[in-house]
Amino acid sequence: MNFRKYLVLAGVTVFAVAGDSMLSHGMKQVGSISIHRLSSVIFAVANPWVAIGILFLLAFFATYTNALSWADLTYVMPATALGYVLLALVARFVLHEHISPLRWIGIVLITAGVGFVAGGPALTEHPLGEAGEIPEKSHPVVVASGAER
Amino acid sequence: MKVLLPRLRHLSRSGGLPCAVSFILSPLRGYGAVAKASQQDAATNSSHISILYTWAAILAIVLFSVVGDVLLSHAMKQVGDVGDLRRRAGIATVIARTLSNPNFLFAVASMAAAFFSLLFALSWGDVSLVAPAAASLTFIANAVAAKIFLHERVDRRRWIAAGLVAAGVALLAG
Repeated sequence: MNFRKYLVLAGVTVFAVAGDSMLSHGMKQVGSISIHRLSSVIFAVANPWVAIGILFLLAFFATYTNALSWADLTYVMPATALGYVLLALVARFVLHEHISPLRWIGIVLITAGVGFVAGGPALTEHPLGEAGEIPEKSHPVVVASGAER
Repeated sequence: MKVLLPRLRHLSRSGGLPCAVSFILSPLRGYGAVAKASQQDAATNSSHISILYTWAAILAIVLFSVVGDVLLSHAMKQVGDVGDLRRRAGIATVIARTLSNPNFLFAVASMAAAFFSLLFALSWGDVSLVAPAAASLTFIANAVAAKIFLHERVDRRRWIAAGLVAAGVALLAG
């Protein structure tokens, strides 16, 4: 784990929260979409909040795939959950919404869970038997030949 | 399921294929269709069906998200560390190799299916039930699936983390 990787994990969290919030805000401006005219959802993109929200969700997907390229799924997952905590804290300290004691307990639980995972290794080292599935990771030779070219 | 099966059988006998198709597509018309299908039933029965539909949709969300996450994780392990690859071969190679990976494409398709399941679930059930239930179940199911299919070493540390996060999400979003 180096600084770049922590930055990617932070990106996963922040982009997901920002994208979801903007999309939610924009869709409330657009109003409810009739179930009989589902195609009208396309015009929702004209709303700037929705458009920027989609861009942020694309950024989330890019950082998420990036993170999964060097870390286990069970390692990245809790990082995405940290987004819920971020959302609650923004609601409390920026929007001055009330947060019930039950939700504070939820925040503590998620934070504790993330702390648990972050203390361990990011990637399971696979034995040679599965090397065929993950050539880039298990064969440094491939890396070297790639660099020579 | 007990409620649905006789109805499906009745549909296939009386209306044939078009009728069965319209039954399968009935979720597309949202809650109204559910209410219409159970016109003859008592009002309580209809609410039972919408609860059933909601949970079926939640299970579909969990299933599709887990399949999507596992496939995406597997695909990206095949592609290799994106940062190293970009430094060696450039960003174009990274994108080309990712997009040409069949597992990646299946993962995206599965995530899209999860998204549409979410839309259906939200049209039948409250967001305060659907969002936390789907999210926390996905965390647990992901941990199980990662252990079985990705052979990740899900040690006690990660089990505890998955449990804590799932409980926390349920409390926070509920």
